[in-house]
Amino acid sequence: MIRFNPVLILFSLCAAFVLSIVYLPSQLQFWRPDWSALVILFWVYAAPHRIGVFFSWTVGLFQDVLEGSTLGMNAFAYAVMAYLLVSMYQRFKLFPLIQQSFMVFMLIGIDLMICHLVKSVTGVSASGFVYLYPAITSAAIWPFFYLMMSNLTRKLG
Amino acid sequence: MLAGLLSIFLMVLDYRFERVDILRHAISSVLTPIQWVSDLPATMLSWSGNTIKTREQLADENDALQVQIAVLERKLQRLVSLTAENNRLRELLNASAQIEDSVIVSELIGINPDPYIHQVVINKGAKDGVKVGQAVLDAHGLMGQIVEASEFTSRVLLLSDSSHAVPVQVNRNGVRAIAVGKGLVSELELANVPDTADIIEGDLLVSSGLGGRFPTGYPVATVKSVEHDPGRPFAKVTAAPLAKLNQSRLILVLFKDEARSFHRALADDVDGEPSEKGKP
Repeated sequence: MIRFNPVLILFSLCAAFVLSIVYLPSQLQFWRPDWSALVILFWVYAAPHRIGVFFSWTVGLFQDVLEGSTLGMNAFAYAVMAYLLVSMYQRFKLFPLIQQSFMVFMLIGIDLMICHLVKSVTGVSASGFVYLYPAITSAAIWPFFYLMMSNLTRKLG
Repeated sequence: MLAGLLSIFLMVLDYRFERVDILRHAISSVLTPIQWVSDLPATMLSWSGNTIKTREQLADENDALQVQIAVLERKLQRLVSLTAENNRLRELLNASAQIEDSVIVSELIGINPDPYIHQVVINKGAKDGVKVGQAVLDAHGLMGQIVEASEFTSRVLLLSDSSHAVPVQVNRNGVRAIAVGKGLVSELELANVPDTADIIEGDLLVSSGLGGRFPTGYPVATVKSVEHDPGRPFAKVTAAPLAKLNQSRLILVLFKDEARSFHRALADDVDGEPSEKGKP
């Protein structure tokens, strides 16, 4: 059982923020996993009664400021994502890791689609499905991320 | 539901009315350590590069830099007298005198993670007097402008961003145009250039100062290709930016108002090209 640990939440969030703006070579830029979304998903999964829509909304707001995007874009997308996970976390917990990472792909895909929609409305648009690449990498990372985080919480908590 | 409404409200406020700058400013100041940490790998790399160098390498580099300084100083000597002469001539023409621009040197500490948005973050902010709208240069030419200034850092929109445009003129003959970013680091496009305009390949484009945001006379780009297509109403002119948009780490923020003291301008690197206030 994963325990709720505020210090670890703060630490993982800071790490996610750093990872989401750290410099990557230009070929890899399109594939950068959505670290903040992964952290949110993990904590909603771990403590759905404590961590939910408003936590995700706040994290999204910080992410917006970090990226310099329209304030509220990521906040909205993360809130929707967290709402979806909160509403089905009981099923999600029973899934094997592979199926979980498929769900993560769907959830982060929805998050990216919302961001893409807002971006195209406010003027910055990109064609094609390139904007969905981070969902693929995030889903691929999810099993390792999940195992690492649950081990960490067990050791420290 | 409430979160959704709140964020849509925020987005509209931000996009339409730019009313949430205070909130953005506050969060941004809190997040400064994160920016700083994310730049650590690059800082460590350049630090270790400097530390591991041998004595000979450093001496060689030092010699090369001394020579470069001598060459630049010589140019600067001429520039001082030329500026004075130019101002005297302008007085004769009853035009207003040109004032010296001053700069502060800042360092790049972050890059926008979205590959479609060409923005960088620098380590000087409102605390150092940086304001939204200031022009930003590197050693080779104009880089862009400040779009957001928080307490310790500020965000620079680069020339090559697809939402950026800068008024330019051809240095050779003064033909005016607008250089629009295309979202590519190495290419700008001149918008709505008539087919008959006298622009040829290799022309230097300097900022024209029209529009009042950018100062006059800073090099912006060189013309890369000019295509005349009879089927299209305008000529297609592409240009390559002179500033090294994806390489420069040392970035100069330009102050053109006289509010800052002259001593500060002397202490920092005095930049040669003066700005222009009003034409004859």
